[in-house]
Amino acid sequence: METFLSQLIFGIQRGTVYALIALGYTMVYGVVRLINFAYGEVFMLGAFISFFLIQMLQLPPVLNIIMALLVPMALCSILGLAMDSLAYKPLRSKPRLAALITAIGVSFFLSNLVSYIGAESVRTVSVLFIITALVVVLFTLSQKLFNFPKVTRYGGISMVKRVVVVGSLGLLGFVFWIAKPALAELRWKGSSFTAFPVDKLFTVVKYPVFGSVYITNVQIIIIIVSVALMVGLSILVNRTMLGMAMRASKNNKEAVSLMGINVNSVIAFTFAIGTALAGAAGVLSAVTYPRITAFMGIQPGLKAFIAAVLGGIGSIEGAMVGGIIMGLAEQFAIGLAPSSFGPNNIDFTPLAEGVSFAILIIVLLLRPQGIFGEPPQDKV
Amino acid sequence: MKPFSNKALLFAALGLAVLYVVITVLHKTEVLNDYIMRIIILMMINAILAVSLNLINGFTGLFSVGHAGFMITGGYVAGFITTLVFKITSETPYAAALPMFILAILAAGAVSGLVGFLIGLPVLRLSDDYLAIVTIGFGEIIRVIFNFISFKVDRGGWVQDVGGPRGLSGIPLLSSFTVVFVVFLLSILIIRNFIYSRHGRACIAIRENEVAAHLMGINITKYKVMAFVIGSTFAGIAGALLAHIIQMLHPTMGGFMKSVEYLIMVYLGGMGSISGSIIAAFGLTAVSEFLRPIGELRMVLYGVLLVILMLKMPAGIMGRKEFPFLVPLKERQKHVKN
Amino acid sequence: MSKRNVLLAAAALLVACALILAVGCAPKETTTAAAPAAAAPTEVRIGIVAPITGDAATFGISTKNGAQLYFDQVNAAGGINGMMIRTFVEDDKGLTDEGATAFSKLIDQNKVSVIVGTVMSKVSLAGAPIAQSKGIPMISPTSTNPAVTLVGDYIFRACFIDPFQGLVNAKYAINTLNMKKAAVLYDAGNDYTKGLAEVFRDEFTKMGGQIVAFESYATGTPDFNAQLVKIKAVNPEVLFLPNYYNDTGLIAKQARDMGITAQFLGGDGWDSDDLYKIGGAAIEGGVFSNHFTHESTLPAAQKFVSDYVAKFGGKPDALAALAYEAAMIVVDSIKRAGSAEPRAIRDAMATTNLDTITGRITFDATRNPIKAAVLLEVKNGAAVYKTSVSP
Repeated sequence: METFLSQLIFGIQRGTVYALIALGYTMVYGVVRLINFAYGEVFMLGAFISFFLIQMLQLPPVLNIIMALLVPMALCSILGLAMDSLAYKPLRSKPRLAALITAIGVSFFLSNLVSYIGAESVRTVSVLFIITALVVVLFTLSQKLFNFPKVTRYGGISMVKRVVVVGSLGLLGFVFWIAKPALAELRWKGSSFTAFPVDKLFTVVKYPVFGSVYITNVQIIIIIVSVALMVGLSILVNRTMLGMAMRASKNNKEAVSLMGINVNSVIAFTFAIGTALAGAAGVLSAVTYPRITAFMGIQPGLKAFIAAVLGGIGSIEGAMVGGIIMGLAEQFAIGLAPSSFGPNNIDFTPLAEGVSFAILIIVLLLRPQGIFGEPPQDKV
Repeated sequence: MKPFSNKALLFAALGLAVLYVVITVLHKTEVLNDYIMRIIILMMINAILAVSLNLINGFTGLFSVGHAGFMITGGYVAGFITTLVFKITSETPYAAALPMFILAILAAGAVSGLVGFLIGLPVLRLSDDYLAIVTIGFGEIIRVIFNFISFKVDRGGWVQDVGGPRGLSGIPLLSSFTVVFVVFLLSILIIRNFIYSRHGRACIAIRENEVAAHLMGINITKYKVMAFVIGSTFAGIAGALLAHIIQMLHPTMGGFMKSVEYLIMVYLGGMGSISGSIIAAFGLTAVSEFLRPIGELRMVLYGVLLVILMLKMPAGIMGRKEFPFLVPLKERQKHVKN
Repeated sequence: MSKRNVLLAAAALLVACALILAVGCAPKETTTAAAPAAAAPTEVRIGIVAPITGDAATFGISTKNGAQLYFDQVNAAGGINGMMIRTFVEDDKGLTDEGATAFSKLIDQNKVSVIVGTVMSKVSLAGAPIAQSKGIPMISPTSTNPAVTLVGDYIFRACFIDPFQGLVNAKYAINTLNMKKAAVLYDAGNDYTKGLAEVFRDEFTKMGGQIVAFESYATGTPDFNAQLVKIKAVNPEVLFLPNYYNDTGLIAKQARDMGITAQFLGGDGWDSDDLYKIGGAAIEGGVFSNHFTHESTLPAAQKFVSDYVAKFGGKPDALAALAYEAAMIVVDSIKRAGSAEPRAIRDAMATTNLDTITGRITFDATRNPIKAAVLLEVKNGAAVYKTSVSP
C-alpha cells in the first residue's frame, strides 16, 4: 500500500511538469497547427534564467521565490514573441514543413547556444549581448542613414522596436559585465550539469502522509502553483474576450479577421502565454530535480507533446489530463517492471522508460484525436 | 539509336573514373594521408544517407526524422555478421574478407528495409507533424533496443560483453575507398533510376497533391511505403559502411541529433535534387571537419543555418535541379522538344 | 538558368574538395616522411584526446589540464634529452565517431609519436584500433573498461580497471562496514556504470552478501523515484551507486527525501565538486573509490596539487591526477627509449618502473597498471581520505 501511494504521489509530480509544457504545445497547435519543437528549449531557458537570477540577485527568501518564478515566465514569453515574429510568422503562408524545420532549427540553436556559452563565465554572455546589440543597432542606423526604404521592416520587426529590444539587451549585458564579474556561482556548465540552488529558495520540510510515505513542502508548492496556472489559463481561455478570439482562431481564422480582430496579434499572444507556461514548468522542474543542463529540455519536450496528443491536441483539459496520465503511466511502468538480480535475469526497466513512445503509437493508431479531441474530418 | 548518344553521361563516367584513379594514386603516394581518405569516405557515406533521406522527405514529401535509426540498424547487422558470424579480424586477408563484407552489407540493407517496412506500414498515413514525432520516437526505440540487447562472447581467453551500452567494438576496417566508392555510385544510380521511373513519378505526385494523386488511381500507401523502404534500405547499407570505417558502433550514434544532421543535408541541398543532397553532404562533412577547432559553436551554426535556410532559401541550393548527367536521356530530350 | 545552377553546384563541389585538401595539406611542416625522423629531432609530438565539450566536459578539461601541466613543466626544465614536447589537443566530444576521427587526425595529420587519451571507455575503444594498427602507443588515463588494453600491445592505461574497483567496494561493504544487504542503482545506458554494477553484484554475492535490488534507469532522467520506491521496500543497508556525480547527487537527495537510510557507496565517477553542490546534505557520509586523494603524504603528490592550484585555480580531481601520471609515464618512456620513435616508446613503456604521484607504477601483462585504490568519504562538502586498498 505504501509503495502504491508513493508511486502515486511521484507519478503526479512527474505528470504536472508534462502537463504544463503540454498546455503550451496544445494551445499553439490549436491556433497555428505548428508543433513548436523549441518548447523544450524554452523550458530549459526558464530553468537557466531562474538560476542566473537567483545567483545574481541574492534576494530575501519570499521575494526570491516570487522573482524566481515570475521573471523567467515574463522573459520566456518575450522569447516566445521573438520566436514567433522572427522565425514562424514569415512562414505562415508557406507549407507547414518549412515551419517544422525552422522549429527544429530554433531548438538546435537554443540548446547548443546555452551549451556553448556555458563553458565560460558570465562575462562572455554579457560580451555576446553587447556585440549583438551593437551589430543590430549599427545595421539599423546604417539602413536609416543610407536610406534603404524597402528594408525598414526586417523580418516583420520595425526599426524602432529592434533598436529598443536589442539595445536594452545590450545595456543589460553591460550592466552584468560591470556588476558582478567575479561571481563564480554564476558560472554554469553548458552541456555538463549545474546544480540548481533550491536551498536559496526554501528549506525542504517533509510531512508524513501514511506510514513512512512522505510528501515534501516543495511538492505541495509545485502542485499548488501548477494547478493555479492551469486554472488561470482555463479562465483566460474560456471567460475572456482574448480567449474567445483564440478559440475562434482555432476554428476559422478568416472569419475571425473578418470580425475585425488582428489574427496575428492573437497568435502572438498565444505564443507568449504558451512559452510563459513552459518557462514556469522549467523553474518548477528545476526546483523538483535541482540539476540543470543545456539539453534538459529535449526529453520533456517530446514527452509533453505525446501527452498533448494523448489528451487531444488543441484541447486544454486534454493537455492537463494527458500530462498526468503520462506521468502516472511512466511511474507505474518503471515501478512494475521486473529488474534483474542474477547474471541471467533480464532488466526490463529500459523498456519501461519507452512506455511514453508506446503510448504515442497506440494513440495515433487507435484514436488519433486523443481523449478530448474531435474525430478528424478530411475535406476534399 | 546511336550508341553513346548520352554525351553527358559519358563525360560523367569518364570523369568519375579519372577521379577514382587520381585519388587512389594520391593515396598511395601519401599525398592524401589516411585521415583525409577517412574524411572522403565519410563524405560518400553521408551522401548515401542524404540521398536516401531525400527520397523519403524530398521526393515523396514525408517528414521522417529517424533516419539515423535505420543507419545504425544496418551498422549493427553488418558488424554482427563480420565480427561474430564470420569472425573477421585484422589478420584476415582482404581478398577473403571482401565477399563476406559484401554479404554483410546486403544483409544490413535487407534488415533495415524490413524494419522500414514494419514501421512504415502503420505509420505513413499520418500527417507531417505526427509523422515527425513518431519517427523520432522510433529512432529512440531503436536506440533503446540496441542498448538493451547484449550478450557475452567468448573471444578466445576472455569473455567480452558485446552490445548494450558497451557498443559493438572490434569491427574490422573493411570500408576501403574502392568499396565505398562503388557502393556510393551504385546507390545513387539505383535511387536515380527509381525516381525517373513511373514509381518515382507516383511518389512525386503524392508529394505535390496527395488527394489528386489518389483520385488519379495511385495507391498512396503502397508508394509511400515503397519510398520509405528503399530509403531505409540504403540507410542501412550506409550504416554498414560506417561501421566498418569507425570500427565501432554505439547506440548513441543513432539518435535525434544525428538524424537532424542528415535532415540539414537534405534541405540544404534541395528537397527534390539528388545532386543537391550529394553536394550538401560533401560540403557539410568537409566543413564540419574543418570547423573542428570551434567545437560546439558548430552546432549553434547548424541551428541558425536551418532557420535562415527556411526563411530565405527554402528550396535549398539546387532546388529541384539536377546535374545533366544524372537525368536520363529521355527526360532531357522531352524538355528540348518543347 | 540551369546552366548557371550547374556551374554554381560544380563550383560548390570544387570548393568543398579544395577545403578538404586545404585541411589536409596545410600543416605539412618539418616532417616529410611517414614516421618521425630518427636523425636527431628537436621535438617530440604528443597527442592529447579528451572530451573537452559534451556531457563529460568536466572530466575532459581536467584531463587536458593535468597532462598539459606536466608537459609544460618538462619543457620548462629543458625538455626530454634536449627534445621539446609539442602537444596537439583534440576534442572527442564524448562521441565514438568523433573520437575515431580525432585519433586519426592526430596520427595521420599531426604525426604524433604517442597519444594520451581518452577519458570515456567507449571512445577509447573507438580510437585504440587506429592507434594499434598504425603502431602509435596510446595510454588512456581513465578508461576503466577491461577491453581497452586488450585491443593490442600498443594500448596502455594509467588507472585501475572496473573489476578491481567493484571488488574494492564489495570488500569495504562486507569487511569494514559489516553490511550484508545491498541494493544497486545504475545507469543502464552507460557501459562504465553497468560494468561496475555487475562486478559489485558478483563480488558482493561471492563474499556472502545478498543483493536485494538491482535497479537501472535511463541515461539523463532526473527522476529516480520510481526505482527508489522499489529499493526502499526491500530495506537495504548499502546502496551502491556506480554512477557519475550528476546522477549520484540527485539520487542521494531523492533517496534521503524518501526516507532511505542506507549507506551510499560508489566509484570514481563521483569525483567532482558538483557532487556536493547537487547532492548537498544528502550525500554526506557517502564513500567512494578513487584513484587519488589530495591528502596524500607523498611529496610528489603535494607538489602536484600546489602546482595545479597555482596554475588553474582549483584543486585537481582524480582525472587531472591520472592525466598527470599518464604524462609522467609517457615522458619517462621517451627518456628511456632515447628517441621519438613510436616502437621504441612502446617497448620502453611496457617496462615502466616509475615513482609517480600515487606511488610506484608498473604494468602487468595486459598493460594495466598495478596500483592501489583509495576510499574517500564525503564530509562537509568535500572528499576526505579514509583508507587505501591494494590489489
